[in-house]
Amino acid sequence: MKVDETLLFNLIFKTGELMYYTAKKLKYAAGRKQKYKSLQLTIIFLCLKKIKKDKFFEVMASLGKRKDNVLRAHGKLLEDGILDIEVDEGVYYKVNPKIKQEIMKIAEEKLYHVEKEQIEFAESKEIEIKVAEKREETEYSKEQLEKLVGVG
Amino acid sequence: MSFQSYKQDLYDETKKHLKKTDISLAIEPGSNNFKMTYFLNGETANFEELTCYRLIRQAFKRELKPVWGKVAVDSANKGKELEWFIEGGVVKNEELLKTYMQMMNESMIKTGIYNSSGEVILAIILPARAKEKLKIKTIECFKKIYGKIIVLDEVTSMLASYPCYEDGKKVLPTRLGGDFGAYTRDWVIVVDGLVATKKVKDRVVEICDSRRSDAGIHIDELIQRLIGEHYGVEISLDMAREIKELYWNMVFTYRKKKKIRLVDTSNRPEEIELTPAIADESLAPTIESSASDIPKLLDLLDISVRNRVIEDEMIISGGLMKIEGLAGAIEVALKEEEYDYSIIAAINPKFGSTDGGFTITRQFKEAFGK
Repeated sequence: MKVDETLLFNLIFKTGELMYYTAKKLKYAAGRKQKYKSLQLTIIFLCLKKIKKDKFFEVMASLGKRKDNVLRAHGKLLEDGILDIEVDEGVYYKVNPKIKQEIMKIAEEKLYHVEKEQIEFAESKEIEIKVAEKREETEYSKEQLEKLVGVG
Repeated sequence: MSFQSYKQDLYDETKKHLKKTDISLAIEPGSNNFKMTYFLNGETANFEELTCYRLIRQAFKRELKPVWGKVAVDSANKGKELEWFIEGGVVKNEELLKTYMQMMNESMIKTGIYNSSGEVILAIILPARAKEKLKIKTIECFKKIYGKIIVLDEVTSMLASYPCYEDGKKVLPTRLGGDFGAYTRDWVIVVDGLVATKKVKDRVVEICDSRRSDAGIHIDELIQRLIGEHYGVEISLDMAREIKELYWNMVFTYRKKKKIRLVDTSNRPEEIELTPAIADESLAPTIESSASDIPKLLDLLDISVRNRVIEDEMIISGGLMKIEGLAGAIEVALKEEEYDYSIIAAINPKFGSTDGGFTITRQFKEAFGK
């Protein structure tokens, strides 16, 4: 299954579940005893999304995070070596490639795990779950499109 | 002005300024959730947001999440006048929708979905059976921000993304589709990509059916009442909804019992066990009335059209279809009415119509953009 940064970004805001799994794993990676707080994880995910530095705090503010807290959490992440120091003004904050790989792995495992678990459960209970077959892109002609939009 | 001519004007205007580089965006204003599909970093993405809470948050300058217990009752009272500014897919309070769209627009620019609203071609997805005047009012609220708009019907756009064949050729959908929303439950028959119509006493009426008593909110109320009756625990409506969304798939579809801890309206912690029997009882009215409504609707069609419609499966979308076994249960109930008709749930049911609308917009832009 293909997992990319956009999907990760969507996942984190949709469910928060991935956040929990990442936190559990990163706890060891970073050598910290306490669990990673959501703010730090949000920063990591935003960095993965390559948000530019000047937009970074704006996005954080729109998520309801205070700038001083963001800076403090950011400092800790730099200390732990999870984020690399930015090279120049306007350049993305970079996530340590090792950590990035780790997160991708977790995401892949998690997604795979959920699908597999559901299928196995359904098979064991012989429940018929009826979901539409995989949708193929239907290409419509100009006339058909005009009709669909309602003014043909 | 009739809706059809309004739509024609809107369409002409959009087509005149349409560019190939425009960014497609599909929005479905739902009573409970605002749903949209967009393109970000080479990937189609979905986004949903609880409509009322965002404004409450803004108004009280603090974050109010769906809460349980007494706090829920208090905050619901505070935000009462802010809630439900959209009802059944159309605007109820124009000022609030405009404020909301302004905020939404700003945050979409911040997230990097687009740089300015001028470069967006927007598909607004509205229900077919809503009043024409209200539909125009709703579109006007969006028009303040977005210039290029196309209007699509909820169920048609969902059905359009599922392939339909005739003699091996891909054609426009001829199917029966459903949408289980928070406020309404609709059935719409689509013939050749348009909502089917019928002449009744020299008047053309659309063949669709909508009911409020089967919508999500009524199931929440039923769950609230049933838990009160079975366990003597009074819970908030917010909580009933959350129980439905989190556990109903497990309890109803997979027949598993689930012990949960919750807080009642006077902030007392309680432990209850959700059983398949309660889930069955809460969903039974919806299943029964669905099974009795479908045959009535199909009987309105001419026999030749009806045969074409029931050739393919019926597809249902909407948040309620996250309960995986519901489509199967309706199918079984239909069989009891001696109707052998296959029913399936849409992929990604909550975003069924926005996903379809997004695909249509993208193709439309590629075909007509300069």
